[in-house]
Amino acid sequence: MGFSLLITLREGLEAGLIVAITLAYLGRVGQSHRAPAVWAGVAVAFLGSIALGAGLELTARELSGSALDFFEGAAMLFAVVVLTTMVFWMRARAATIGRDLRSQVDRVLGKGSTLALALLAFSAVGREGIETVLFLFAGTGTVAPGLEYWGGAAVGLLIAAVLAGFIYAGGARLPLSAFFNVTGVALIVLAAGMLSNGLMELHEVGVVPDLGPHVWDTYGYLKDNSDAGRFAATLFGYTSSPFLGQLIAYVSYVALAGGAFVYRRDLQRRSAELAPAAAVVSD
Amino acid sequence: MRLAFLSLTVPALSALVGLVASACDSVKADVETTVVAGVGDDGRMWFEPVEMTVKAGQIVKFIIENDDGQDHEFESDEAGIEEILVPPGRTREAVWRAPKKAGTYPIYCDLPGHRESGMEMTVTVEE
Repeated sequence: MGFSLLITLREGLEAGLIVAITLAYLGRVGQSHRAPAVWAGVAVAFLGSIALGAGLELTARELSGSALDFFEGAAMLFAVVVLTTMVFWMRARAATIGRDLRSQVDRVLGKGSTLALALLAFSAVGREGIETVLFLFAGTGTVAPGLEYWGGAAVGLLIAAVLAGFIYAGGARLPLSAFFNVTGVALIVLAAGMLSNGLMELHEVGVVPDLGPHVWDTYGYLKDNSDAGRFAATLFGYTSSPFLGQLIAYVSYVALAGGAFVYRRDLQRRSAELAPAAAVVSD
Repeated sequence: MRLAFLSLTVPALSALVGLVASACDSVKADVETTVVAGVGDDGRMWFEPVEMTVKAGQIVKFIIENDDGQDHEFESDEAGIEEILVPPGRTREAVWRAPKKAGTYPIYCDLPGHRESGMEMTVTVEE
């Protein structure tokens, strides 16, 4: 539940922000009558994402044994790449997302095309939808997706929609920077677990031939195949008896991705602090 | 607005904590059986016992002992037994509810070449 909730909350809020900023800007420039085109783009993106998810799930159901392990392992590693890219992309873009989106809307309105406006909303929301589907599917590799899993996804999406509604309705100032920082770190931890689990899946089918010896065994304390063990596996990549290769991959990923995430944040903060001083000096 | 933000996210996070706290498995098994995984002198891999019979709907607790020097798995897509990896010299458990419908189900090690080498057993479910 926690995994799926975090994914849909984060991705849903990103998509919700895009929609809220676009609709608010249309209202400000007296083009509210074009809002249905935005909603049409959002609806098609949403339905397209569900279709993609259904396609992945149906493909997985057709597979069994090694083929399924390979499919899940490859999906996990692909999700790690996308998730890492997305976290850093969002960090770089967070400060200018509103301005960028408004200039895109301006360009589209300049052409006078309603279809282009719908396409803008479709591409922006569709990207978040594809990411969400990919991550949720990758998460099903370690847990049988039941009511809790999909319920968590629905709750995350609902919270994101309500928050986006607040933003649109009142131009509300939510602590978005803190939200994206905290969820960014949480997603890096999720991705590290996904990397570890993905390597394990590919090792089991012989694609990754050797992951070294098992480092320890904590099965007596927390069983992999208990509810709590599955929960920990999905959130943190827990396995009771990890291979050395898994452990190295996990620690390296957290150190590199987490370190880069924190370092860049620190760099941005210092730049912001230095900018006014530089302006004074140049005056 | 910060309050509204917190009022929405705090319950969600609390639900997470609650889930972790309540996540304990306490299913009582009707049948408990030990399955040993090993390799013979001829290099053939095996599960022991090779066959077992249970009643429909019974809850079976498998205790899987890996008597070999390499990893083995215990799983069955057909019976709905979740894959569990058993490291060398280690023991794992798998709790399984037998189907309501009578039939014969294979349980096997799905690591490359292991099932082909004989690491498979069958469970017969009787009405």
